Amino acid sequence: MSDNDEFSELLGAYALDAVEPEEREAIERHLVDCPRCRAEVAEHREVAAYLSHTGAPAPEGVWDRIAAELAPPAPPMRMTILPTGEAATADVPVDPADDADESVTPIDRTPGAGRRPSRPMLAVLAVAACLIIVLGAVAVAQSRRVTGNQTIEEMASDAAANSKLKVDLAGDAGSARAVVGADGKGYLIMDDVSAPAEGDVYQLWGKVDETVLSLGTFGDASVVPFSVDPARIGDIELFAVTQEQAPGVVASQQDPVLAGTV
Amino acid sequence: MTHPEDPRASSSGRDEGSVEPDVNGDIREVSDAALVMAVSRYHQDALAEAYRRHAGAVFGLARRLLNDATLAEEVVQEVFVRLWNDPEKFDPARGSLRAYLLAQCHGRSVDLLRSESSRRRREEKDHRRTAEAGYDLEREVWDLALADHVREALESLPEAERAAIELAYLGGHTYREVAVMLDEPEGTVKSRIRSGLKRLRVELVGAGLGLGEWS
Repeated sequence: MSDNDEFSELLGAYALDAVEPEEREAIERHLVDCPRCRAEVAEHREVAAYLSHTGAPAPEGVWDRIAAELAPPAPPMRMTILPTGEAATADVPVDPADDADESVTPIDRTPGAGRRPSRPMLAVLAVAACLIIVLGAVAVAQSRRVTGNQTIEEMASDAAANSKLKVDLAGDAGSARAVVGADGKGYLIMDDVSAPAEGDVYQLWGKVDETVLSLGTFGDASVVPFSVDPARIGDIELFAVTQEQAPGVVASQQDPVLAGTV
Repeated sequence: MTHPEDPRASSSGRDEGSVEPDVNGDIREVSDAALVMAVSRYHQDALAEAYRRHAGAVFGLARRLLNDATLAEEVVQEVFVRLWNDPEKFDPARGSLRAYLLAQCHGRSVDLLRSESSRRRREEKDHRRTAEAGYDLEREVWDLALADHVREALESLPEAERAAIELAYLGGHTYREVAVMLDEPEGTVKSRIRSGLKRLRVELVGAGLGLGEWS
């Protein structure tokens, strides 16, 4: 029996939390690399959700306790350094680039621990983070936002006029400016940047204390919003843009197509 | 590093001119996936709406598993606080929010059931849970049309598959424990759980239920 068959037989019990802890760990290691089994688990859980459907009202009083427990915010820029120094990129940002327009794929949160297996391997971490990137893309697509009174260009223009940090970027793709306001809201304003190749995206990176953070991906945009921790604006050393295959990467292997140091 | 501003305190605390997720018009019309996106942007009202939609089911499952309303409320609290803290763990491409929350609830509930501190109490209740598991479904007050479909689907299962699934999922037992209870080989039970779930899926889809589409 192949590994896959062995795990397959357990997927139903696993989806119902009816396996032993060591089996759970083995299955979860397998699931990282097996989209077919992940899909099957998701299907089983969807079915199980019907079995437990009670139609009961939400319990009284519990919401108040939840609301009281909602934590103060996570830092707008979370930096999780990967274990290997060489690929010391973060598993990424950050505040979800609050003012992102539809062309931007902010990467909302760093993956956490929870009941999932630990992720000692860089490759595993990269896969996990790529999933987050995909999720970010999906979520943005599903959360189309209403633009307020100001256009993104106007907000960028305001930010440029009052910027705390301004960096010129140049490279093969053309030239652009990154401006960051005191509130940590930043905009990459394209002066003359060609669109990425089909199937590719541009990915914006910021470097802070030897840590390279992805600040989001974008396509053919004139202005790209991003966010950084206001307390760390002074620590930003450079901005760079790479061209990557969609939906983006955790650690870029590409030379920047735009770069500018502070 | 300090963060004096709490953007999660309320959505009204944001800067003027910022772009809001489209959840403020009529939040009850927003999809679950968009709600979670809004949660990831610190909208407490979006979490409140997710709670309104799904907390009853989460509570129902926890209470059934734990047989203890106070503990079940704690699980509900934990599940929704976790959604607030780690919204990215919900992947709308991989299933519904309801199924995700229930899976979180189930995992946490069985962890509690299996913890050392509750083992003794569990043993006392085992007999009763074993006896009741097959009948609980009929006793619940369900959305009637949905309940009929689910009941029919369950009744269409071979009895051995139905018993294995109910003891595992609603009884919180491992497949090995179920094997002992039903006096069947472990391998048989694990296969029956899987085949039964697949059969249930076919039945539910055949009955016109869009799996994962919770109103």
